[in-house]
Amino acid sequence: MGFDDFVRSRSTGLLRVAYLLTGDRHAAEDLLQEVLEQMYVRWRRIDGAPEAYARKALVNRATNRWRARARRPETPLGDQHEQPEPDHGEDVAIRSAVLAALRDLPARQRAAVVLRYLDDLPVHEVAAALGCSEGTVKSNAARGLDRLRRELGPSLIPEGVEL
Amino acid sequence: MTDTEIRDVLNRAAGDVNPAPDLLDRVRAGGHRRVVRRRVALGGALAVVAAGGLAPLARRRSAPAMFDGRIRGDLAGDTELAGRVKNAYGPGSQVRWIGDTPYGPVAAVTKPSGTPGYDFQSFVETVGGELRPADGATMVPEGSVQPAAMLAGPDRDVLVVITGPSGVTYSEKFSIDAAGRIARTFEPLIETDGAVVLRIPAPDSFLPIALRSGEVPDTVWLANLETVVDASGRADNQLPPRIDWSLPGREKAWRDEPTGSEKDWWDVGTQPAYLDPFGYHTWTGPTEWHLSGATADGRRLVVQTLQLDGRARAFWMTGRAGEKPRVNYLGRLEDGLSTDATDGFGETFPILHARLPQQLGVAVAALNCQLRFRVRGEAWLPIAGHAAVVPAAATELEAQPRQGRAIRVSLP
Repeated sequence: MGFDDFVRSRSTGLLRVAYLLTGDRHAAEDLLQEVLEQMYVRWRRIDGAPEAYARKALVNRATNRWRARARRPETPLGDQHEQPEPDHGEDVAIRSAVLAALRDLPARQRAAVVLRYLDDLPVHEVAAALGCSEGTVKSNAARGLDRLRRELGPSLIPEGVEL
Repeated sequence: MTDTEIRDVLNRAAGDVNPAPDLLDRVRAGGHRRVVRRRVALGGALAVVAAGGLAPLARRRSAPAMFDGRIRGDLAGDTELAGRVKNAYGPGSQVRWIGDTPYGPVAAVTKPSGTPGYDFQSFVETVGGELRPADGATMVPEGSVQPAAMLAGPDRDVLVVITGPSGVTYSEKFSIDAAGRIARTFEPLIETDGAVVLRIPAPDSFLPIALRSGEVPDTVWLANLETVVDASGRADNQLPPRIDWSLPGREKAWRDEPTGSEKDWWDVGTQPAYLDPFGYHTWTGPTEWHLSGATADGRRLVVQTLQLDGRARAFWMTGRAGEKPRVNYLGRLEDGLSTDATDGFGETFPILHARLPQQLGVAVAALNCQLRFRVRGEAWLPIAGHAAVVPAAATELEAQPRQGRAIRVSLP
């Protein structure tokens, strides 16, 4: 697969991961562009499994980005990009709750949860992306999920439904 | 809430995010700029190396690629040992290098990752007389081995580096120069049959070394960084919060918010000279502050703290819109720029109080505290929010945490 084809076919999925890692749409777009630029420069070296490379780079940079997130002030939910439209009020509420809950997770828990459950990656691939052992991925994902359940349960499960 | 429901909410949260139609064009344009920048950086690095009389990079660049299918290292001929290494690393593993260290054999290994076109790369070390895989692994293109390192031995004082064809340079320690930048000296590692085994000072609570690989400088994966850092109990990955605080009067000076590289001028957290990109650091530390406001004469003002390995440095910058500001270093917080206090829950929290030169004032900040200041014995004046730059005449600061007694700090 050439670089252009890779960008065309995979950028949406990678942007979704970046979005949940950063919590901000503009930051996610910046992040993805930075990673793709880096891959463009090194394409000959990483051709073969570019998606895994991209994922790892996203996680590394998202951690730094999170640390330095004021480079671009985070766009508060509900601004012009996320104005709830009549038909999408529930989605906006979900997004708000999910991003707030993810923001409260330590970086590795957040990355483990996003890669494992949004990207649906097997544990060994998450471990490779995070540069840690599979056991660490499992414990981070489990802790992250516990916290998400605690945070998201009440806001996302309709009244009367038992958790 | 089930795992399936978690998947569903994550998908719904991210569902309608789509890349810009011109993403590819922008990436290609940005990629070209990166190539130019890196060539410039490499030119600088070559000049430094030549000036220092070190081995020329060209020689290392032409070193033979080590990954031609044969095992390398001084123990490569020990087929029985190589077999045991393979068993230790699991099905499908390949031994790429195997050598002796003061703590017994160490091997660089790969095995299929399960992802087409990609292998795992890691190490097997000797622990208590037995072969044991390192905790982590990195993904590399199938059939290749990338520069990588691990720390061997009970005190983690033996560094094993797989150098790869383009060579690896090593820095034993860093210092912080008078401008608050990270200063390091890198020297080439002279490999023997594809690797280097090097005795280093045992890491204490932090790991001061750095490794840099390749013609285009790149980081080197350290297999057991997590284990080494875990041993000191600091690896909970609790990133310090970074608080961006707009000071009163900011609006006019920052009317045209900087974008792109101009935005980075005003944030030392984006500038590699202050970050040690090839070092290995932990992310713990005190709250990071980025206070932006304006001086009395209308210039932009930024006061910023930046953590590294549990410590923080403080900087300040002033300038007009469109001007690249000079980064001025105030010093380390522990050197009189911050005071640790304890709240009613027994938690320690830092109170920043950094006096700026040129009568610009005193930057003060304490997360989740009510602040007030006074000039000599006069009345206390309240501060709105967690942070401020108070007048240079201020002599005393009070921080009242949510729980516990107020802390008073003199502002010399």
